Amino acid sequence: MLAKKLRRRTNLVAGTLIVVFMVLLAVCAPLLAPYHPIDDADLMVSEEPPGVEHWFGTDSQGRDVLSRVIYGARISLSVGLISQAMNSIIGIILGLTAGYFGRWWDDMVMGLTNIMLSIPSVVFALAIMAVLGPGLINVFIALGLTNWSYTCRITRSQVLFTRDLNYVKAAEAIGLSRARIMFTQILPNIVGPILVIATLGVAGAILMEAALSFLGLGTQPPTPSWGGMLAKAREQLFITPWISIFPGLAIFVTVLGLNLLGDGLRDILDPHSMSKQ
Amino acid sequence: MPDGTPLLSVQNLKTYFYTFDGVAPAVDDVSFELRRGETLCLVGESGSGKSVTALSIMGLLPSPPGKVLDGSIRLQGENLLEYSEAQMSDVRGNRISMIFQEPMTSLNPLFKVGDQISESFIRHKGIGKKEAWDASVEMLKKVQIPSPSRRAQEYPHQMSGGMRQRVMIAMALACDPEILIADEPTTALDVTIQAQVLDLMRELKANFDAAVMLITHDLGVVAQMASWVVVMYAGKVVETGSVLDIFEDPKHPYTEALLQSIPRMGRRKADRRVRLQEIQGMVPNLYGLPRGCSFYNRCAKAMASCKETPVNLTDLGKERQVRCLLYG
Amino acid sequence: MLAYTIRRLLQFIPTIIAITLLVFLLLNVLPGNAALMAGGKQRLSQEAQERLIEKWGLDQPLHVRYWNYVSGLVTGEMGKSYFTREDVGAMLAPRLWPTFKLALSALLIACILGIPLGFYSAMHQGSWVDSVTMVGAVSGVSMPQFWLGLLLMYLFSVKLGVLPTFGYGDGKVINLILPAFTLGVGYMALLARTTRAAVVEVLTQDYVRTARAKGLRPLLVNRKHVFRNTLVLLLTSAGLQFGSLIGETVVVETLFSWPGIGSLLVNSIFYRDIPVTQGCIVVIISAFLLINLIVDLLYAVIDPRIKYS
Repeated sequence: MLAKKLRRRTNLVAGTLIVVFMVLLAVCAPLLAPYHPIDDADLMVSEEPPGVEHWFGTDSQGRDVLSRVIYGARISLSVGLISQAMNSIIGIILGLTAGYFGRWWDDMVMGLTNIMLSIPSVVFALAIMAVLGPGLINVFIALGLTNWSYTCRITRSQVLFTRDLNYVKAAEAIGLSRARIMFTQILPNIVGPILVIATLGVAGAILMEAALSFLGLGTQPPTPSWGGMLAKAREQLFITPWISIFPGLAIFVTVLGLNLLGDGLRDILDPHSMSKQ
Repeated sequence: MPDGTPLLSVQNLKTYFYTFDGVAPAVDDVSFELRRGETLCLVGESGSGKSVTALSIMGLLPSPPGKVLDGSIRLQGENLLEYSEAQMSDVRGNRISMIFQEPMTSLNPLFKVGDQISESFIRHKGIGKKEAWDASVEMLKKVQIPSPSRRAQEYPHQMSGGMRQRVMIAMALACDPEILIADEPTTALDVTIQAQVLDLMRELKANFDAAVMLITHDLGVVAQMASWVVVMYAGKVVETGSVLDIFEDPKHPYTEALLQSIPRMGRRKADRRVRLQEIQGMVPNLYGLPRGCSFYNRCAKAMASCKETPVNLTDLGKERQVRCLLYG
Repeated sequence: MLAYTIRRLLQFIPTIIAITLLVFLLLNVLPGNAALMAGGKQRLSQEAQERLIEKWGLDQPLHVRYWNYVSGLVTGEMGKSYFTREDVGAMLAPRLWPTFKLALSALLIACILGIPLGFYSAMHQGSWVDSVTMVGAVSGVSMPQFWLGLLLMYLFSVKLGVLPTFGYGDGKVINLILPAFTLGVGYMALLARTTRAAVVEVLTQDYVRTARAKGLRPLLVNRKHVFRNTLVLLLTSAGLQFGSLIGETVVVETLFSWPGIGSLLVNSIFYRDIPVTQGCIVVIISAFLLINLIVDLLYAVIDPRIKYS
C-alpha cells in the first residue's frame, strides 16, 4: 500500500533521497573526503585531470577537487538552511504581529512586504553585501533578510482569516487568551505552505550563495565553496577545465533535490497552492 | 412512451471510469428513448450516473479515466459512438446541444457575449461575422433578455447568474438543435430566477420543437417540466415511466422514498413527526458496489434475497419498467 | 482604461520614492566607510579622511543627504563615483543598452521556446514529451546559470572555438549568443513550467467545456479560448518572474564580462563605491517596476474584468 502511494510521488521520493544524500555528505565530510580540502595541497600534483588518485582531479594549488566539493556541501547547506530559517522566523513574526495588532503596524509591514516584492532578491542581497562587505557571515545575514515576504503574507492572511472564525470569537468570549487561540489555530494551518516555501527557499538560498561566492562577495579563498570554486575555474578555463564541471554539478544536484522535494511536499501539504509564487 | 419515432435511443450504455482507486461503473447498462416533442427527466442523487450519461451522449467524457465500453447511442438511427471526433463536433451544438449547471463559469470571461453566441453560428451555419452577430442579437431577444443589442456587447462578468444562463440557452438553441440536454440548469440559481428560466425553457421548447433531456435531482423541477421520467441510482436505471405514473404510483422503493422526502406543509404534524423525512444512509461508493441491489442498505422494503441477487429490469407493461425484486 | 492607467501611474511614483529611500538608507548608514574605502589600498590620513567627508557632504544629517540625492535624481544627477570621480549618470548611460539587449534576447529565447513547450506538454499530459519537458524544466530552474554559462563557454569557445569567450566585441550578434542563451535557458525552464500549469488550469475550466459542447473545432478552442486565458494567467506571474531574470543578468554579465549595468553593480560593490552602487540599484529597480507597470497595463487590456469594473 505504501509502495503504491510512493510510486505516485516520484518528486517526493527522488527529492528526499537526494537531499538526504547531500546532508550526509556534508555532515560526514571528514569521513568521506579522501584528502583535506585546504591543507593537502601538493604542488607536485597540481592541475591533474580526473584520475584514480584524484577522482575529480586537482586544482592549481594541488588540492583534491573531490574533497573540496564534499566540504563545499557544508557551506552551501548551512547557508541554505540557516538563512531560510531566519527568513521563515522573520516572516512568521511579522505576519503574526501584523495580523494580530493591525492598524499602523499592519500597514507598515504590508508596505515593507510590497517593497520587498518589488525588488529582485539578488539585487537586494547585493545591496546588503554592499553595505556589509564581502564574507561568509555577511552572506548569511544578507540572505537571511531576503526571502521572508511570502511567509509573512501567508501567516498574516491566516491570522486575519482565523480571527474572524466564529469559534475563535466564541473562545475569546469565554475568556481564552487571544494569544493562545492564535497559536493553536493558526500554526497548524500554515505549517504546510510554510514548509513548502522553506524547502524551495533553501534551494534558492543555495543558488544565491553560490552566485555571491562566484562573484567574489561570499566565501573567500581558501575556503572551499562551490561558487568560489567555479569562480576560480573560470579564470583557469583553459588550464583546468574539469574544475568547472564538478562544483556546478554539486550545486545542480542539491538544488534539484530540494526543488523536487518542495514540489512533492506541495502536492501533499498544500494542494491549493497557497505557497505558489 | 407516446407514439412517435425515437429521436434518441440509448441502448445498454456502459461507461466505466478507470482510475488509480479502481474501476467505477458510472453508467451500467442504461437504456432509454427520447421522442420528438418530449421532455425526459433523468433523476437521481449525485453519483447516480446521470451527468456521465449526458457526457457520453455528447462525446465529452474526460477520456483517460472515462471510457464507453458497450452499448449504442442512436440519433435518428445513427450510432453516435461510431462517429469520429470530427463528425461528433459537427453534431455538438448543432443537432444536440448541452447546457451546464454553473452559468457563472461556463462563459469565457475574456470575450463578449455576442461573440460567444456567434461562434456557434459561424461554426455550424458557415455565415460571416456580421451576419452571425445579428443572429446572436436575435437569439438574445428570443431568450427574453432586454436591450439585446447592448447586452451582446457586454462581457459575462457584467451579467447576473440568471442572465448568463439565458445566454447559455441562447447559445445552445442557436443552431436549432433537435435535442437540448440540460444538466441541472437551475440548481445554481435563486428560486425566483429558477422559475423564470424553467418557464423560458418550456416556451422555447415549444417554439423550437426540440426534445429536451433534463437532468436534475429536484423533483419539483421534474413535476413542472417532465413528460417522461427515468430514475437512476448508482449507475443503473431503477425505474421509468410517465411523470404522472411516477408521481402517483411510484414502484421502486427509491422513487417512493424520494417522493416521501419532499417536505409538504402540515404533513409532519399529521404524521406526528418532528424531523424531516430523509432517506437513511448514503449513496454507495462506486468502486465497491455490492453484488445484489445497490439500494439494499437504505431500502425500507428490503428482503433477504435483495442483498446477494443481481437485479434486472422488469417490464411492467405500458412502457413502465422497474429494477426491483418486489416485482419480478 | 484611462482611469486605470492613471491610477497605476500614480501608484508607481510613491513606490519609487519608497524604494530610493530604502536603498539610500541601506547604503548610507555608515558614512565613514566610503571615505575609508576611497583611499583604495592606501589608508588615508585622518585629516584627509575628514576633508573627504566634508567635501562629499557625508557629515550632513541623513535626511539632508537624502533630500539632496532625490532632488538630484529628478534632474538626472546621481552623484559622482567615489573613485573615478565620474558622474554616475555618465557611467550608467553607456551600459543601459548592452544590458537591455541581453535581457531582451534572453526573454525572446525563453518565450519562443518555453511557452510552446509548456503548451504542448499540457495538451499531452502524461506523454513522454511531457515527462521529458518537465524533467528538463525542473533541471533548468535548478541549474546555476553561471555554471551552465561556464560549461557552454568551455564547449563552444575553448573546445570548438566557434564563439568568443567573453566580451561585448563590436556589439555583433555573435558575442550575444552565449550570454543570451545562458540567461535564456533558466527563464525558459521557468516559463515552460508556468505555462504548463496555466494551460492545465485553463483546460479544467467550464468555459472550455462549453466551447467543446458547442462543437467548436479543437484548433479554434485552443487558439482562442485556451490561449488567451493562459496568457492572462501567465501575465499575472510575469512581473515577478522577470525579477528573477534581472537578478540572473547581474551574474551572467559578470561571467561573460558583458559591459552592462549588472557588472558595473558588482564592481562597485567590490570597491565600495556607494554612489555607483546606489545608482545601479535605483536604475535596475526602476526598470523592474516599469516593466511590472507595463505588464499590469497589458493585463488590463486583455482582461475585460479589469477594464469594466
